This record gives sequence, structure tokens and C-alpha cells, in this order.
Amino acid sequence: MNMRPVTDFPMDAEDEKALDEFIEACDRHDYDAVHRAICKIKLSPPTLMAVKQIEGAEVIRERGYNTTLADKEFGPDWLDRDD
Amino acid sequence: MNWKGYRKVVADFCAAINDGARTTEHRKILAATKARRELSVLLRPLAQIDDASELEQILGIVLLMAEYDLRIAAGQSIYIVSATAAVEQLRDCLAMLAVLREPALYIRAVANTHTAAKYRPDGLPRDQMRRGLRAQLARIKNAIGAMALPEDRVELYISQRALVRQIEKLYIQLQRQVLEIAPAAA
Repeated sequence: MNMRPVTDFPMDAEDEKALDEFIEACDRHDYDAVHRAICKIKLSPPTLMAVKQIEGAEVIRERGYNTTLADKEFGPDWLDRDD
Repeated sequence: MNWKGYRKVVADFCAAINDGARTTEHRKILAATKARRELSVLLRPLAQIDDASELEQILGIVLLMAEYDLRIAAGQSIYIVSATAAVEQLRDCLAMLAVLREPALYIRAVANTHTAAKYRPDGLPRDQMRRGLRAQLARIKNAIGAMALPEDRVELYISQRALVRQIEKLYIQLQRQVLEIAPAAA
């Protein structure tokens, strides 16, 4: 599959805010807060596809990553497909 | 040790690093830098684990990071060869570890190979696992030596190096147990 690069998926104001939370949580070494922040960030489709290929679709659902951009890019059933 | 939770945290940071790779957005790049730093801190206690029964889990974390590294390398033709080799070697290492967990199988596997003394320093076979770990260490050494590497990347490589060294130490301990070879007197 030819995937568009990360640069094709710019952040919006919500992502900026979530990234700030992520950076602050890193500074506190608060890994639960890191996870909460990363679940708010609309991760780029190439990143989520990497997570799916490495750890499986179930892990994405279980951890609650934000799949908004990947759903648009790959189609709503991308997590269930075997590609 | 809650390995599932640990893998989740490592994967969160790997995702942030992946998202920050090949972008020009300042905040994402900053987040990736922070993620590398945190990952370095997180790996340190892992390099202190002195229990060989945890080897698969520790090796699994190193493999997880190598797999994310490979996804980042995709499209960067110079780096992808080394990243692919790293993942393949680590998968081989896990397979070799599974063989060592079956002492009879391991003894049979190394009985006809690694017979020459040069392949058995201290009587311990320099098998696929040990060669694979040495290759990882060489790769990390080369990466650390690369010019103008940012500090956060160097930090992460140093933590990874400590981890691979610990894996090697624990594996050698296991080899000694299985082959019933006492440590050489100092």
C-alpha cells in the first residue's frame, strides 16, 4: 500500500493542546498521563498502520488510540481488514 | 513486572517518535524528542534485571523498538537495510532462546556445530543468539558514532546498548546452566 507521508496530516488546535499535555506529562514522568494525552492526539495514518502491523488491530482498540485520520484515510473498516 | 503495561508505555513513546519522524511540525518533533528521552529513562531499570526467566520479555521490548524503528526507516533507503537486519536478527534471537529453554534440544543443536574451540569461548557456544546480540551492539556502536546525532538519540542508543549487554549476560548465564559449565576462575 502506498501511504501518504506524515507531513500530509498537519495538526489542528486540539492536537496542539494534546501534544502540550503529552510533553508536560513526559516532564513529570507520569506515564498514565502520557497515555491519556497520546489517545487524544489524532495520530497520523502511517503511525497507526505501523502499530497495527507490529502489534495488531486489537491492541489499537484496547489502548484507545485516536483513529480519526486513519479511518478517513484507509476507510472505516481498516482495522478489521487483513491488509 | 507488569510486562503488558510496560509494552504499552514503550509503544506509546514509539508511536510519538514515529509521528514526529519526517514531519516539519515543531511540536511533533519536540514530542518525539521528549519520547526518546523518556524511553531512555524507562529502559534503564530493565538493564538491571538479573533474572534469566524474564529474558523473552526483555528481548521482546528490544524487538518491539526495532520494529518501530524499521517503520520509521521505511523510505530512507540507506537506513532500512540495517533496520531490517536488526529486526530479523532479533527474531532469530527469540527463536534461539526458545531452543535454549529446551535443554535437551539445545545440547543436541550445538553438539555437532560450534565444536571448534574458537566457536566456544569458555566452552560456551557462540551461537545464533550471541552473534545476533553482538551484531546489535555493533549496530548501536555505529549509530552512536554517527556524526551530529542529536543528544536524545544518543541517550536512547546508550540505554539500548545497556539492555542488549544485560540480555547477553543473562543468556550466557543460561548457557552455563544448561551446559553445566562453571564460570572460569578469575
